[in-house]
Amino acid sequence: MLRTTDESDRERELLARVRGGEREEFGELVDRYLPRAMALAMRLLRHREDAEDLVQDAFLSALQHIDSFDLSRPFWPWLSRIIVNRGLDLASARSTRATYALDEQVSDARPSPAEKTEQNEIREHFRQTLAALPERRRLVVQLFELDGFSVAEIAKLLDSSPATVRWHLHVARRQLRNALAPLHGGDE
Amino acid sequence: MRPNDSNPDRDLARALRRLDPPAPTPAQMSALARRIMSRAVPLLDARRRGAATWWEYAAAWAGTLLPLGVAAAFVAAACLVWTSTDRPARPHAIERAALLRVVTHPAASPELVDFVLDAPVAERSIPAGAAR
Repeated sequence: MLRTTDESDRERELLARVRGGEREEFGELVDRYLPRAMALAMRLLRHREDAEDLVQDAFLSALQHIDSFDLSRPFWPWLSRIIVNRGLDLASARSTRATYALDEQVSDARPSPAEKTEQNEIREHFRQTLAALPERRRLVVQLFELDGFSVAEIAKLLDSSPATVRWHLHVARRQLRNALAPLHGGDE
Repeated sequence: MRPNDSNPDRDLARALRRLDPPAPTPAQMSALARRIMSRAVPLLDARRRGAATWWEYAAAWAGTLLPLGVAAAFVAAACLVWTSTDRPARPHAIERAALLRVVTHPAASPELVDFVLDAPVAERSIPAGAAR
């Protein structure tokens, strides 16, 4: 994400004041990053209450360790790394996987009941394929496809190499495209 | 056709988005923001205390330190008065008198040492005729 100098300066000022214990500035920081933090946490944990706890922990952890943060750098990559690291730990610790809600709105073309059933089966297969992906691989493909992160950004976020991220992305896409292929009337 | 792997795949993204859990409502987001703030307040207050300047510390402690300072000054003044009114005789006054006697006394030098060490005794033991 491109940031203007004004934005960077304002953020630096905010962070410096948060270091000094200013409540209002911390509130502004929370307002600024809460939607993105929540979206990322939801992607990791797929459960609203868990995601809220994760985001809360991440903001408080960032506040506790803000003295070690380099004010010349943007805040979001640092916060998102805290969220991802904690979120991956939580996700792997959870024994049960959350289930995805399937969208019943398959398409605007109003398919016949038989077609609808078939499409739902395909989507269920897609859901299962996604849920069966290893946590990191699933996160890589979601961050790339849905959130617009680049390979380099994901690598930094996951403390991994770009080559590893590209490999995860390639494998995940192949599996997911194969699961979706019948929906598009062909095989990958 | 295989989509370009360096760009997002729109079909895949659409299918993935359908599986996204519902986003929190604005009310839920506001409640979360309030919850974060309420937990952050003690941490922020601790930071404010840590960042306080020396005069803020002084102002905070003034209520305790001022009476303590006044009490300490009072005790010190009382001690000063007490020591100045009941002080012992200066010890070197005797030595000065003995030295004066040695200088002015016509005794021989071995006897002079005894005289200095025990001036009153030496003074008594020296006969009046041995003045020369």
